[in-house]
Amino acid sequence: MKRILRFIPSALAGFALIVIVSSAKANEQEAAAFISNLANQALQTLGDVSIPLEAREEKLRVLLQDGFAMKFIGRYVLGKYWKKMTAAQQEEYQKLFAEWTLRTYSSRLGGYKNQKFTVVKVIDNGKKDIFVKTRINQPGGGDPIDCDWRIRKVNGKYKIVDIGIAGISMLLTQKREFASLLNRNGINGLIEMLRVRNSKFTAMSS
Amino acid sequence: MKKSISNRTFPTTAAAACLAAALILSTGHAPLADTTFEDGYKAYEQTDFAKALKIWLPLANSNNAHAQYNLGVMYDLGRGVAQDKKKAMAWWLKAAKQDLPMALHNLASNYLFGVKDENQQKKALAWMSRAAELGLSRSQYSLGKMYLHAHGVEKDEVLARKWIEMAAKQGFDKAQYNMGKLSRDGVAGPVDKEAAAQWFLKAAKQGYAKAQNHIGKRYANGDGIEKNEAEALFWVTLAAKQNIKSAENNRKVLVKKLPLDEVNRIMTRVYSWKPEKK
Repeated sequence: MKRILRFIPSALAGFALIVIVSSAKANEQEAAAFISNLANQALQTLGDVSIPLEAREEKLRVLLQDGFAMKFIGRYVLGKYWKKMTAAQQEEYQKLFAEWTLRTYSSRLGGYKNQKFTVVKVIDNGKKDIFVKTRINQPGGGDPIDCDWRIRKVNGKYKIVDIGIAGISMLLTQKREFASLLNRNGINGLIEMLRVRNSKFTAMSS
Repeated sequence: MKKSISNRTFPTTAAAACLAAALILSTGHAPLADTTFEDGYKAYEQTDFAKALKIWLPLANSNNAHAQYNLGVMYDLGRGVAQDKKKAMAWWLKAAKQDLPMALHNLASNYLFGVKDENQQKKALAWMSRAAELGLSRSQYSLGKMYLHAHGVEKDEVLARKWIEMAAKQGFDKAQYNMGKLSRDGVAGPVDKEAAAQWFLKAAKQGYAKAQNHIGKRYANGDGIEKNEAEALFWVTLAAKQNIKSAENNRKVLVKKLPLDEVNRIMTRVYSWKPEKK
């Protein structure tokens, strides 16, 4: 009897471990499905060649916006400057920042002709965030495009909170670049920079 | 005679052969025969970037400014090639030297605000100014904003208004919205509420959310335009649909003031509305 009693705590610990492991496994599957779903949206939207590519990409940016914790990212990269902005500046900045982020990073979800998107690995270390590593194999044997998506559950829904390229965090890179620019050109300067960068032209037809 | 001709032409032929070999090595594929710039664009539109690259690269190497510009776009965005901002800038620079406005604009856009070096800032300003002079409305608008807020250039409200107005007259919605604000505030010109309302209305008709909210408020108050609360509700609702917070507040106030059938009629208009295309 004593033996049985001694066994119970370790059995319970084992059970708890199994629950944690299976819960981590479930989270990993959900996280992989979340990123794969975004990649599928990219594939479907960009594949509709009945409308111009620029319009398809714009449509995709609208669809993908919900997959990013954009307000959180936008605030985080501004650091202490966020509170120094007026409400109108915050609204303008968030809109421009979202557009710029999606212009810069949405191609990491693939969707262009003959690209092959795969989820390589999902890491859930039991903390707040899950990391999803993806790879796009290019047609013709070009260099593969790798990306690490850091995702977090916000109000029950997965959202992208950071993007890692070659091990470098987009959040930290942007925070540094923006801090330097804010020192030189102030808040309006940052807003103008985003506006100008979003205004770049795409490929010309003739 | 034949021999001397072939001797004289050898270096050119050899150079061409070397160039072709370099091309094949750099892309991993031979250039496509009998293809045009437009074929490259068709491939690009179908997101067949590898094919577009094969068509445009030889053209770019033979100094075709449009192909150089498009290669710049591909490197800037990482389309069919590894993303490489330096290579993008190098191609755009080649096209910009041939006065291609979009290359000048993109080149300036990557440099403005992004560099500490004052000489580079001056270069960027010169590129943007040239694109504006060549008539590109986005560049005229950007230049105007730079003069207005003294970004990388000394503040000059007269020049700011001149460039923004040029872009607005070409139908650029953001410039029209800004002309509304400049006319409202009397920047480098008289305060002109009627003109302000008309500029806001032009931009609103193109779907520019902030302008829709502004013209809505003006209709509500009869500010520079005849008071019309139904029109006010129409425009602020369109702005609210685009997540302009204050537009949502304005909408709630107007909905309470107007009879229900009028509100319903306006909602029908809102849902069937499409922006004007410029």
